[in-house]
Amino acid sequence: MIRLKNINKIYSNYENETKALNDISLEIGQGEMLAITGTSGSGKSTLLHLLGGLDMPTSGEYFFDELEVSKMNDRELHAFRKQNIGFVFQDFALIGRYTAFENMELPLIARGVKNRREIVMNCMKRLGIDHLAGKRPAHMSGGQQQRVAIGRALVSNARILLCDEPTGALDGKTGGEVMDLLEEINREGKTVIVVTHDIKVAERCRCRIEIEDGRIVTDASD
Amino acid sequence: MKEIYKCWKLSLDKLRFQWKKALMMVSMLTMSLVALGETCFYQKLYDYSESSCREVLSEALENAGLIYVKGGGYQAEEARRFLKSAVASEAVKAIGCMQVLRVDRLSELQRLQARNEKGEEQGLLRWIYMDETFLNVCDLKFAELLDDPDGQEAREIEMRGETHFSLYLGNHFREIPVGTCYRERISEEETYVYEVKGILEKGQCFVSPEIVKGTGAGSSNAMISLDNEVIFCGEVSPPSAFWMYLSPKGADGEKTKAALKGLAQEMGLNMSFSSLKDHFDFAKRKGGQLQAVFGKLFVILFMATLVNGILLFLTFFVKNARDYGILHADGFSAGELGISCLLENAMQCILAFFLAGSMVWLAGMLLFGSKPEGAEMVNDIFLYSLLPIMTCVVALILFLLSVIPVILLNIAEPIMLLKGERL
Ligand SMILES: Nc1ncnc2c1ncn2[C@@H]1O[C@H](COP(=O)(O)OP(=O)(O)O)[C@@H](O)[C@H]1O
Ligand SMILES: [Mg+2]
Repeated sequence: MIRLKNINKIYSNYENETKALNDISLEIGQGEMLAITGTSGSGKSTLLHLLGGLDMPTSGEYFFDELEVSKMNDRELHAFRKQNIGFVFQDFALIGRYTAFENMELPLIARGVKNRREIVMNCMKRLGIDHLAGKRPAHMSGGQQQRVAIGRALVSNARILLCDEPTGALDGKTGGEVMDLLEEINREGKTVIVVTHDIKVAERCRCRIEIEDGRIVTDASD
Repeated sequence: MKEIYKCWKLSLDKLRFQWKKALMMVSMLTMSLVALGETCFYQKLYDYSESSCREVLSEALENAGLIYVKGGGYQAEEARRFLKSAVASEAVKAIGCMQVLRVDRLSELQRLQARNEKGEEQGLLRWIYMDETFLNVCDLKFAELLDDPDGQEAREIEMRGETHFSLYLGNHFREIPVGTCYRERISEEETYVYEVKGILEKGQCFVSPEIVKGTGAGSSNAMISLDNEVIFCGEVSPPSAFWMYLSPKGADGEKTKAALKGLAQEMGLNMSFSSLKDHFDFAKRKGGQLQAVFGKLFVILFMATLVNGILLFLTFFVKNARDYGILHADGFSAGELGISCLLENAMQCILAFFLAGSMVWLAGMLLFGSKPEGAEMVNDIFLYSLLPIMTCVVALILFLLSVIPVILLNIAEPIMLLKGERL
């Protein structure tokens, strides 16, 4: 489904250039559950942003199915993200003023979907968070917030879930529960990509790649 | 269309969550629009009044002379003698008096238009009296003083010399129908009974002064002869006032002036000349100053509103920058986020527009709307001048307020906000 070929990403400012990704080639199949590991600053997030179309490679090719994402303009990229990608962040990235329900409703509003209440409530029930519908993030635990965030990524029917350190802000037990949830989602057919520096989290994924200084150093699968 | 609907909800939410900011914006917008509205209103008022004034007064505006008699109140014996002599000696054709000439009320002069025997309007002002009270009345009714049970009418009648009617203005007759009587009690013993004879029609007579004894700031009685040939006496305060006469141009005018001057000198009156036009110009200048004040106020408020609006946006933008990023990840494009800012501003502007519009209209109605002509004037000015200008300015404000958010959201790329990078 995803094919990266000789991807480079260089950040440059006045003084120096940072090679965040160095000649990355990678294939990810439909329904895969992939962990990207590596130390801090190794380029994990950069890779994830590239995969999600939040960022463009400096050079190289990125194919998503038959689409060449690396050649898209802003408008196409936006449409691509809207259609295919759901993001989950370390800090949950929920909007504090909105309730859980409203946070999950936003992607549907953005897509002009009509029967939003029904879709959101179904999704919430599936994730076991329907009792949180009227609560604001400040009144939820970290695990609950991350479930809502995952719900938000799922509600728009994204084909692929990109999670940047989804358990980074959670304790071990809650993190494990979130991983349970992600595994379940993966079993239902969604492609899940998890960036993490936590070995335990990585071990729960079928495939793993490790990045060091922007290069893939190990590529393993169970 | 679909995009607008999506953004609509976002902007409504913003107003809901940031209602204090919205309230602040709306009140600032309202204030500057009110200032703008008042500026334009006064501008148009003078245009409107001047044109209707010129229509009515025609050449009289140039020809009406004013005499200012220091200390020469209508009550003053010598002033009355002066007037009578002036009219008797045919030194002047007409004399009236005027305390205040407010240009914004000049359309009132329509009532004062003289008519000839055939009832045609002559387009000449014979004499006028204007004062605050006059300017506030709807109906000019006149009444005759009757014998009252106690028979204490004599003194009043005497004071009015050879004329037949007392002419009253305003409040006193408002509630009293024509043909009914009305009693005025000055004190325990002093009681007057008047019969309201009729409504003074346009051209039937000219003018008059304030009111009867004991009301308002001043009081005066005015009398007129029914042939429109002017007689006037009475009392009014402040005691100094302008006496008005018809001042033909050229030699005739000079002769009139000389005759009046001579008469005044004979009586030892301190008198000076001016013209209705001078007075008119003066009043207009005064009005211009008022307008300038509102104009400055508008400029200040306009700038303050813009600066405030932009600062508020930037503050909230920085504070909620990540929210924009999150919304972007949720699938809202930078353009849609920009539109939501625009809609948010638009709603505030529209609310302010309605508030300010109704405030300006109400103020106009309160000041000038008590008479049908006044109300018509206010409506005309409001509909044809004020609304278009205010609409344009609201659109301009909306544009200026929204241009920065839209540009910022498109340049700054909400993605960067999401990734936690600095702008
Ligand atoms: N916008 C940027 N500008 C410059 N350098 C960046 C930017 N984003 C990331 N980097 C650099 O790229 C490298 C990889 O960063 P990142 O992908 O965030 O690492 P990780 O997520 O693995 O901790 C780091 O050296 C980081 O400093
Ligand atoms: Mg990272």
